[in-house]
Amino acid sequence: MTDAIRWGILGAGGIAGTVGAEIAATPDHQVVAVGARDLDRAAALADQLGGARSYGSYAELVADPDLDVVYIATTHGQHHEQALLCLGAGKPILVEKAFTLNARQAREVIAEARQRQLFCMEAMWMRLNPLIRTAQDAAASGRIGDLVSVRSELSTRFEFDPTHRLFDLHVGGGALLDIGVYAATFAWLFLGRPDTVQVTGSLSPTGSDATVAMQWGYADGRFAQIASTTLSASPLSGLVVGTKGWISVDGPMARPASITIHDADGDEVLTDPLTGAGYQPEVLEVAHCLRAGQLESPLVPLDETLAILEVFDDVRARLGVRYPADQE
Amino acid sequence: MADSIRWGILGAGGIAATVGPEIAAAEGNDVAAVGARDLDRAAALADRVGAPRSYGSYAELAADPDVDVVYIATTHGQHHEHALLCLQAGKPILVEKAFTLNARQAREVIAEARARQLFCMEGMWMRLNPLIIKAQEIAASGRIGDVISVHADLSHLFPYDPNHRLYDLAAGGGSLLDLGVYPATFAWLFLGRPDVVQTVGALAPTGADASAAMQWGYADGRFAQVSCSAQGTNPLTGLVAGTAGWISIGQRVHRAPYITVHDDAGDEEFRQTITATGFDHEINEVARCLRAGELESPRAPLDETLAILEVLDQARAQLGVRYAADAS
Repeated sequence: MTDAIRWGILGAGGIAGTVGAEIAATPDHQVVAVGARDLDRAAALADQLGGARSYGSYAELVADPDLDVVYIATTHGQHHEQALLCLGAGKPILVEKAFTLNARQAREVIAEARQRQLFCMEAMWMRLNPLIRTAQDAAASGRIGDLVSVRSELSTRFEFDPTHRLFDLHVGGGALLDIGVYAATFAWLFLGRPDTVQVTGSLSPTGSDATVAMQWGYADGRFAQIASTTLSASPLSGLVVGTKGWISVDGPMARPASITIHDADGDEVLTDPLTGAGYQPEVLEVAHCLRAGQLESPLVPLDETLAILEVFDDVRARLGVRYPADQE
Repeated sequence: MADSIRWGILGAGGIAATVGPEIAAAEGNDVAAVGARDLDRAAALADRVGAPRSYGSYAELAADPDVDVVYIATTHGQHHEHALLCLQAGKPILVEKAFTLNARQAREVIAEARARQLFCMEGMWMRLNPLIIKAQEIAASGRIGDVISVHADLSHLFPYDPNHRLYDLAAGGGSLLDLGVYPATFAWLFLGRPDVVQTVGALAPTGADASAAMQWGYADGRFAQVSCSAQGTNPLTGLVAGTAGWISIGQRVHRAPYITVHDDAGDEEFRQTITATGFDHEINEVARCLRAGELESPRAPLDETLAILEVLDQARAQLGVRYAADAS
């Protein structure tokens, strides 16, 4: 590996442009190539990111010998195929969330990465956010006592459009995989795997989930209430309640504007230290793992990525949301 | 009826001592008598609230011809018996929440009040809070679009003590009836009766619910997540989310000092100054109904008091919390 981490970006859509710019702006990181189905779009993004090479196919991108890692920035319906393509070409990968459509696909990707001893991570940037990590540390320290419950709610209004990725079952449409994955991961960070899962929700006309409300129960009495919908706006907040206080997340939980830790001494408010779009801690974590020869980030364990998708499979089954990929 | 509404207070415990002075301070309202099992306690409270008479039994209080309305301020395990005692003595009643232990008891009290044409109301003071009424009006006006979801919680740490009313099943112990009735009523104000109720929670060693989380589903896809706990400390928030914005109750869902309305135009905050304890709106509503000859308050309809207890019955059954009164 050379001094700078050399990234390839697979996909040229919205998230590729946002995260690509953060990678390019991070010291010791370069975007060396962009690959997309449409060469013009790949070239346009490559140009925007400082004159990287561009390819009109994913296969050409993964064959580029000068890439240290590929960021898979397509919609989640394609992640399984593309992750296997990259791993097969010997490339470490950062896979945009949701990691895959279901647990079966995730198991296959994870098995391949482990067998080939290649770095693999879900781009769950919320887990690397400094305020979220502070909240986890505060909860683990006992400062708010024993944890009692978590509430997380992340909703964004999307007008129904059967061709939009949020509603198209062929690309993995639905509130759960697109935004619910944040709310669920947030609860998981504090409470771990639930013993019982209750679900209510509603489907869009295409059969994708428009609303998912989950209640997670734990044998020791803790609980989580988690909700995501594409029908309404929301303040996008999270709350962790303990026997001696609480931690609230103000603003989007993946990148909170602030968090408030309330304990017997009163409120401590911590504000967002990040500049840019907020993805830099994720970029740095990938670099740290690659340089240290770690195949997984301890902050974003693949077993948890998989376990959350197992919960989602069960939730989707109960709501009656089925992807073509679920049948394979 | 005399010019001033003459109240009798049944019970001399904590809530009687909190609401009693508010009655005495409310214009056009006087406390005429206090009755309790212990005459000394009744006399001490009577003294504090300027009541001329005190009784060492509930029957004597209910028989006082110079009492216009009785405020039943005992623990909820006793409400059914005390409400029937007052109604049978011809007295209108304000019954502290929770109205009764279960829906069966509520049905009996309501039937008695209606048969005797006597005023009857649950002391659900949150319903008379001007900011809660404001939030209802804003939601009904369409300013936040169609209402999609409600989140509400109310937790307050009660250290475990098997003799405390919160944990004593014989007194109707449990977080749902003590705390959960507020967030449940809050959700009901905006969404009405749910089609599906899902519950998780934790039982105390006595078998009372220490925590309860409810998820309400509606056939049209709306939902509510409501929770309460006697084990945690939380900021007591409420949220009503719609297709075009949301209303958040910043803290103390049952006694909101401010609400924030978010829509396309941004945030608008409504504030109020809370009087001594905030019960004055409820007292004035009782006085208004009595003077107008209304047998029920349109702000606190008995049918909703009953329906919410039906939902709480269902939630308790799911948690496995049973009162002796459930068997009769």
